[in-house]
Amino acid sequence: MPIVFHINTGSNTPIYQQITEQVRLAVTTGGLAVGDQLPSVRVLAEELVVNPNTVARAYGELMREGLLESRAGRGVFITPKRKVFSRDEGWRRLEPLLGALIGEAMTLDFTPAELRAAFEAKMHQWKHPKGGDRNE
Amino acid sequence: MNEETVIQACGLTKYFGARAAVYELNLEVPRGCVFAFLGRNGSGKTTTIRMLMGLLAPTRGAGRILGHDIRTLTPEVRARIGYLTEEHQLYGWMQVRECGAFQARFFPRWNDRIYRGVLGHFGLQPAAKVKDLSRGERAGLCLALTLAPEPELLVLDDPGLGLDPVARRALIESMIYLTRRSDRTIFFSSHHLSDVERVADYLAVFDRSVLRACCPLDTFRARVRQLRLRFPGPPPALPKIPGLLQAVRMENELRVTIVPHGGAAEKILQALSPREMEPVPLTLEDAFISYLGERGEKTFILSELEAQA
Amino acid sequence: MKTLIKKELRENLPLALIGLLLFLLLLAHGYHQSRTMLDYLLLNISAQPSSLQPLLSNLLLKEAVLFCGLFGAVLGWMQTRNEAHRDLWAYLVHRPVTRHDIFLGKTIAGLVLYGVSAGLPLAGLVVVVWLPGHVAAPFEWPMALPLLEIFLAGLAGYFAGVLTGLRLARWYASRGLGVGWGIAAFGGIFTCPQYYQSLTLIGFAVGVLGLAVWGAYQTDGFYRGQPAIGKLALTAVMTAGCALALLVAGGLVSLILSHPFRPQYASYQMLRDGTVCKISHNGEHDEIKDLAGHPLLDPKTGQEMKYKKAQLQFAYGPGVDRRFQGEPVNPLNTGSFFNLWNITDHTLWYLDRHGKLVGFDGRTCKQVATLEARGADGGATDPFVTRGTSEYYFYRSGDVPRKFIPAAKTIYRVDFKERTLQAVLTLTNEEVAGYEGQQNNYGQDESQSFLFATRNSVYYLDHEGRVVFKVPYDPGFEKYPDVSLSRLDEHADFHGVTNSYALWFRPDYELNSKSGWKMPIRVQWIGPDGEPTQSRDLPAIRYDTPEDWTDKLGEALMPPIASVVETGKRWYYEGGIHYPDWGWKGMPLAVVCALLGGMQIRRYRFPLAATAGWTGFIFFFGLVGLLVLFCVQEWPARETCGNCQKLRVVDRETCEHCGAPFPPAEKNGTEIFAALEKATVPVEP
Repeated sequence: MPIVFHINTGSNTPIYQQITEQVRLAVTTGGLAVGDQLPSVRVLAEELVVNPNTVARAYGELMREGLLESRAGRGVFITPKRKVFSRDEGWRRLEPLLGALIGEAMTLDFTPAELRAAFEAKMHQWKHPKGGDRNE
Repeated sequence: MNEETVIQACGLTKYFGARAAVYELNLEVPRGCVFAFLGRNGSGKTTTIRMLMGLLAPTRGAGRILGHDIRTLTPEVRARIGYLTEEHQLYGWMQVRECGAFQARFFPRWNDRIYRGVLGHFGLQPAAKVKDLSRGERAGLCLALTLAPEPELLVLDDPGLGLDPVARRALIESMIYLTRRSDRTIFFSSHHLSDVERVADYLAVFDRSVLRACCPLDTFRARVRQLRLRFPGPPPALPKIPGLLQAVRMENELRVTIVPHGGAAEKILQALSPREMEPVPLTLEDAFISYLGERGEKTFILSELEAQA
Repeated sequence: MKTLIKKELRENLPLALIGLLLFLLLLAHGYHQSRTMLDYLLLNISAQPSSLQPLLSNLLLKEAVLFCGLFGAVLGWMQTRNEAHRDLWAYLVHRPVTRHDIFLGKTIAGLVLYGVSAGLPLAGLVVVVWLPGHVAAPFEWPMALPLLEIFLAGLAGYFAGVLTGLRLARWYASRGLGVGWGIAAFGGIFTCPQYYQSLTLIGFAVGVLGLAVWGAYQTDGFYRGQPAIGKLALTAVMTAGCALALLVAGGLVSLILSHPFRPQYASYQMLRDGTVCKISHNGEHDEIKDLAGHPLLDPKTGQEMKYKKAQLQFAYGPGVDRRFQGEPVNPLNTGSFFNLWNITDHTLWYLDRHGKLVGFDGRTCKQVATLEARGADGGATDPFVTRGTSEYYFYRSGDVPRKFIPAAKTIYRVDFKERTLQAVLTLTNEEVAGYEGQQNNYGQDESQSFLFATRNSVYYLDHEGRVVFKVPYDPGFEKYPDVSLSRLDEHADFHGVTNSYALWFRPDYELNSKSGWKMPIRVQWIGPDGEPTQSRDLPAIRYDTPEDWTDKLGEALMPPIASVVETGKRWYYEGGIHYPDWGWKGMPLAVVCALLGGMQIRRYRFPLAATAGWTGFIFFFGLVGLLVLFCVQEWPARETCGNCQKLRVVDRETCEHCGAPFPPAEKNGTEIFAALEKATVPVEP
């Protein structure tokens, strides 16, 4: 399995959310590619020692997002991302994150110029990981 | 049996002397789930479980387990229920293999593979006497004895008490293994919230002999909210808020934990004119502790002691 | 259930083995003591012959009672202590078997273990006694009956022990009240005149206790929730226990509070010169008066005669046992099987209940001789009279062994050396009813004499078997079954052989008591020629103690059930309905108790049948009944009703005064209740 899950109990985040976030992160960073198979609900539940319903809920949410699809008789696979969210909805999701980022930076006494520079650097890193080109 | 509800309590009450240990309990446990039964020590959990298992006569009220009245459980029903107590009590003079032999003769559906598997997992020697086993080994033996008859319903009364983390993990793994069959139900009480977070579908919270919560696990997390209010100076006095669990007053801050109903509480808090009011994400443990802890306003216990010194 | 039995056997085997060992030691001790008695008797040391047969010896029976009762109780109690831990009991009860099977499994195992540890040693003892060469006394299989009864009564102890362990009551004393029926069972063995009576009592005690134990298994020891039979049995058990407890408490109280017992009784004695005097014993002080009421004076000093000195002047003689007509009081009395009649040359001669003299060699313990009389036609056995003779009892060594023994109509002389019988006297129209032979003080053959009575006459024979006198039995035998002889000094020669006598006829105790102590005592003097001379009726003597306040208090505390039982007994033995005169004295207390009990029951709203039953029970059993009510019943708590403000019991759904149900649990605004759906099936590949 190309991804290793880490589950923390006693965290602020519910377990199913930890799973979805880790899948999303893996997909974004390239740990999981389109067409990779994720373990079945039963197998993952027993490996992580969690209730299968939790895994099922995580998978269900990812499937609603369009990140995951279930192929009958074969398993669960990463799908190419479909545009599930409208642009407005996408902005609605992005807004609080932007606010948090800028607020934190101001509290830490970074200047907007420094923030902009850091942002550009990160985007560059995103687009050119380890020297390889990524095409969306 | 295809009942939808495996455990049902209706007005179940138990008095010890003049004190109500369990008061007017109404509960329904659906088939196929993992149901956690939480509460502080002495809040009535064990009494409830003993009543449901037909080991203690209720003062009033009724209950059903696997469709049968709890006051008149027949041997056939008992054969379908596995029961594990926190003390993991067995006959001290028996050897491990004698325990297995003794247990197996009572149950027609005895799966020896499971029995030997669990024993092997805990490394138990067949010739060892029960009184020479450590607590964790005894727990493993009890677990093996309870799982081998393949019960439809597993009732566990604080099974993790006193177990080391390895033994507790084995316990959780067994519980998850049991959920392979969708007609099997687990009803357990515990103090280890990390374990509860892992395995439970639903939970019920018992507070001083009364049931206060019965909902899916995520609903409980979602409904217990903590809000942090920041003030320019010392925070004002807190008015009466519906659904208040706890309020902690710090230098310029007020942390209020509530169970919100329809936003009334948030409105009252906004009326205090804080500089900021934002939600604080809670772990399950924090939510649980706030839910069952002292109600009302409180300060840290140690700072109280400091003030007195 | 077989699994349970095997597990119980395995679990309690060590205890049973310890018990087995202990009992073997106890029985060996009792058996050894019986051998010691034998040795003492053979050495002419004064000893009680009753323990010659170990199966009937007091010490051995007491040891058996102690063991069977105590060990039975300990075994039963320990069996329940095995699951003392609440969770282990839960483990046992959660077995997929009925409570009835759990009861059977445990009880069968317990009874088997009891049978082994108490039964095997007893069986072994009986076999040892039965085999010749071990015991120098007659053996009959019915002699094992007392031990069998003790063994069975131990079952009552077993169940009492189980009940003590099972019953969930706050005070340990209340748990142990099963001892009441246990003591009744053992007590019956020693007091009931017939075997069937004591066996019935034991059976009833074991049955009641067993049912109470069965009931306790159904509900983990609680009273409520048991089937009706269990409740009845438990109530019966508690009744006996509470009665015993009250008796003990009452006895202690009266012991502490009442005056020390100073026996006051009077008796008649005859001096060797024929004077009759009346002796009044007032505790330490004895007064000796003559029949006119004047104090007896010592001829030497002129002062009042002291008792010790007077004793030297008393005229002694043999007496025929006053109960020679009736059955023995209790089958455990050795006298119901045999009497040690004589010891000569290391041979013990027993008069057994079939009317034969059997001789046992004291050294080899084997039966060496049987002497029986043949009838007139020489055919059937003419059995010796077995009633009315006292046991052989040494005063000192060197006494002359008795040699006369009567059959129904013939008196025989026994020659112990030749082991033969010789008829000495044959009666025609009368039958011997009882007899006594006397040892004399000087060890001379001439001083042997023999007194026997028929229903018509009293005979006295000398050492050769010649009739010294024969007088009519007057007053009648029926009312005066007790006759004794005083041998007077007149014409006495050096060896104490006299030819002047006085016969005393004393009334039957029961008849005398019923007549109000009015029956006089007849004295009949007999002259040297054997003819009756004068006779005198002495005024009657009271033999009971006057009532003091403890007796009156006892009567006031007597519950009505006692008078019911007494009336029943009188109806059974005498016919007709005779209420005891103390019967009504206990009524006031009984009514008070019934009222108190009734009020308590009404407060908790028992169903009508239970209220009536309990009130009636408490009335008949008085204070005991009230105590039982509080021992047995469980009282639920009471709370103030939110609706009508009166106290209501918590185990009823609706208030008994206003019908309101209990309010649901109070909400404080932090409740979280959400729907639980049936668990979703996780996505499977």
